[in-house]
Parts: sequence; structure tokens; C-alpha cells
Amino acid sequence: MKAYWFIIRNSFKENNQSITTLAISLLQPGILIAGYFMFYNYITRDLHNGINTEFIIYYLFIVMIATLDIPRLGTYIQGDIQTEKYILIDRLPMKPFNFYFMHSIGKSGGALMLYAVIVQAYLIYLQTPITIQLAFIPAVILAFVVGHLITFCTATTAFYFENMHMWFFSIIFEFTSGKMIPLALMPPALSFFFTWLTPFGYAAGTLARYLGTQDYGSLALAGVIAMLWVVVLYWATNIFWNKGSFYFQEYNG
Amino acid sequence: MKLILRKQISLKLSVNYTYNNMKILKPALILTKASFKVQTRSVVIFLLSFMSPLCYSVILITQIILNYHIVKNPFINISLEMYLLTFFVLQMIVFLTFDQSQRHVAKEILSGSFDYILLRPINLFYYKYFRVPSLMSVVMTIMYLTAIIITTIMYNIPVSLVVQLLLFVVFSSFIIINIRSGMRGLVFFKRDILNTTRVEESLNIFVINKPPEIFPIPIQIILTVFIPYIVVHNNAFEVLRGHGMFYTWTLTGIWILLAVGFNRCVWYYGLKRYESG
Repeated sequence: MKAYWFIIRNSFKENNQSITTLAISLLQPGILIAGYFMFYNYITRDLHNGINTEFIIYYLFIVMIATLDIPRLGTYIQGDIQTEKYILIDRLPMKPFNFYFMHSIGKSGGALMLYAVIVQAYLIYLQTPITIQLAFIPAVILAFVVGHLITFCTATTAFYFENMHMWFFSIIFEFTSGKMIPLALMPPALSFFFTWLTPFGYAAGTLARYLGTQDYGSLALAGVIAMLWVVVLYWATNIFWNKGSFYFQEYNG
Repeated sequence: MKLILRKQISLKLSVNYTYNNMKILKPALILTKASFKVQTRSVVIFLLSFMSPLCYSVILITQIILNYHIVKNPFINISLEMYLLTFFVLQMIVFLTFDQSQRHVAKEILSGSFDYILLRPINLFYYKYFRVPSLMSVVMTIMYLTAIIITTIMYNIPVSLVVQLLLFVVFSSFIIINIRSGMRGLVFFKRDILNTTRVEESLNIFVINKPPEIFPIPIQIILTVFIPYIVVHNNAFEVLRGHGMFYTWTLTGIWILLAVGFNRCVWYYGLKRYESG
């Protein structure tokens, strides 16, 4: 526990040294998601009257998830693999995934905490039911863990391919997780596929969708499936890392 | 030693600016050739570099088609084929202004290795813009130009409109390159200015491929008057509609002057500061 706290604290100090850095990490996801929100709010203006609370909750959820910078985290892990720093991480008294997860929490911790306060205040202002307000943060944490697990699994491809661009995965991830197009607006077959059958949806769109529609049954079911994906992906991360590092050592000496 | 180096830099700077074109061309071409050679040394790596932009384009086209599937006519006077044409134009701007050289130069200024560049017989203007020309962006630009031509022929879009859009590409790229160069040049004055590239990337995604009317009026004013994102990206939709052409082109003209002025001022005073630092 002490080791985890040490990583979070150091990573937080390293990445939130100045007000400028904190402001940038706060502005970046905000600007990004505001663009998507304004776009879809405009094109669906005839489908709803006045303020669309469902959309607002969906994008408030997405903006918190966007504080996890997928390409940068993936590139960081890939860099460690390529420069053989991963050997040091292998020697730490914790699983490699746990190390990178704690590092990422520390890195985006400042922005995440500020967003958590702003979003909760805004949910109270919107007079959303108390159940949604209570379920919001646990759902964000769950989606955050799934997102990290997917990123970690994809980043381990660096053991096999020297120049695998993380941007490639992040683009697919953004589309399939419902960041670029809200899952509810996709054609039904595609929406069903990304919402229920792949882990990508659980990293953002699925939980956000049911928080927005206030469909408690589907939200609970999505929460349970997301937890199952966490177990499966956590198990997969160990396999990918161990097999990858074995392959890397065998072929690169 | 430091004094001699400074004198040499000042001398080389003045020489660089008075170089005649033929003398610049040869080392410049050697530099470009070498850069392209490095990028194509491994075919697999070179092909892999296309995966991200190609995949991104496919996903964005899917997104546009899905948008028209959700709502039949989401934007006033813009059909699906017109939207696709504008998308190709905007993507062409993105790849034309693909920034590798300027970031490279900014990093050299930060590390102090820019001195050695100033001493070499290479034009500073060329070095700033074409030091690391990306072969991938060249290929992608040609690909989008082909896509524009095919769309024009397939949907019988008036040639005059396409010419106007291509003019828009040239002017917008010019503005973007100048402002970006000025922004990178700010490292002469503030070291952590490079961190703002993340915000710049987000702002790009925020505005690109969206007609200006989706933004509330205050945001439209900010993105037109203070930072020219609407001028260089979203006004492509206005050109396509033929709305407010005088307003659109006047704004573009004003921003060209502002961008060039900003770039030249930053580099003039920045280099002076660097020499005396």
C-alpha cells in the first residue's frame, strides 16, 4: 500500500508542478469533449426540446474519462519496453499493470479531482436523482480501470513490433467506446455490438449512456459486466506481459 | 570561444538571408533527400506510419455517413457529398501543415544545439519549414487531392467552387504554418511553451470538420477574432455554400497579414535574444 501511495505521490508531483501544467491537463479533455457535445447537440436539435440532460450527463462522464490520455499512456509503456526499462518494472514488488495504473492516477489526479468536484456540483445543479449522483463516481472509476486495462494490453504489442503507433489503437478506441459518436446514436446493430459485446464500450459509452437515460436496470447490468471485464482483462494483462517479455528477451537478447 | 561563436552566428545569419536561390537549393535538396531516405529505409515501418492516418480517415468518413444516417439534413445547404468534399479539403490542410520540422527546431532551441544549425550553409527559412519533411504527409496530401478530384467529377460539383476551395487550402495552410512557426518561436522567450501543443491539438479536434454554426456566438467570435480556427477550418463550409464570401475572404486576408507579422516579429526578436543569451 505504501509503495502504491509513493508512486501516486511522485507521479502527481512530477506532472502537476505548475499551475500551467494543471490548467493544460484540465483544458485539454474539456475542449476535446465540448466539441463533440456541441456537434451532436446541434444535429439532434430537432429530436429534443430545450436542454438535453441525457446528452449533458453522457458528455460529463466522457470528459472525466478523457482525462486518461490513452495515446500518451500507451506511448509511455511502449517507450519503457523499447528502452528495456521494463526489466526494472518487472523487479518491482507489484504487478506491472498496477505500477502503470498508479502512475496514471497520479499523473491525471489533479485534473480528475477538479473535474469530479465540478461535475458533481453540476449534477446537483441539474437536479439529477440522488441515485445517479451517487452512481456517477463509482461508474467513472470502473470505466477508468477498464480503459487502463485495454490500453495496457494494446501497449504490450511493443514487445513484438518495434514501431507500433499507439495513435492507431487510440483512434479505434475513441470510436468504439462511444467518445466520437454517442453509442445511442449509432445504428442499432452497431450500438448493440459496442455496448454489450466488446470491452471498449465499458471504458466510456455504455455506463455513460445508462447514467444519462437513468435506466437503473441496464446500468446495474452494465456495471456487473464491466466488473467481469475487469477480471478477464486483468488476467489477460499478466499473460500478455509475461509472454511478451519472454519473446522480447528471446529475440532481442 | 563563446564570443567567437556569437560573432560567427551573427555573420552566418546575415549571410543566410542574402544567399541566392541556387546556393540554397543544393544543400536543401540534399537535406530533403536524406530525410526521405531515412523514412523509407524500412518498408514495413514506412507502411505502418500510414496506418494511423488512414484508419483515422476511415473512421471520420464513417462518422460523417452515420451523422447523415441519424438526421437526414443536419446542416443547412450541405448535402452528404458536399460535406465529404469539405472533409477532404480540411484533411488536405491538416497534412499540408503537418508539423515535424518546427517542433524539431523548437527542441533544438531548447537544447541549445540550434547554434550549430545557424553556422551551417543552410537557409533558416528552409530549415524551419522543411527540415524533417514527412513523406507520409506528402502521400496523404496527394491522396486527398485525388479524392477531391474524384468527388468533383462524380457529383458534378462546379469547377469554380473547387478552385475556390483549393485557394482556401493555400491561404489557410499559409496562416497555420506562420502562426505555428511563431508559436514554436516563443520558446526563445518561455521554455515551457511547448506544453501548449496539447491544447493546440485539442482545439484542432474541437473545430475541425464542423460547420461554424454549431458553436455558440461567443465561441464563434473568440475563434475568429482571437485565434483564427474558424477562419482556417470552418469557413470552408461557408465557401462551399457561397455565403458571405466578402466577409470570409476579407477575414482570411487580415489573418494572413497578422500571422506573417506575428511569425516575423517572434523570430526577429527571438533570434536577437538567443544570440545575446
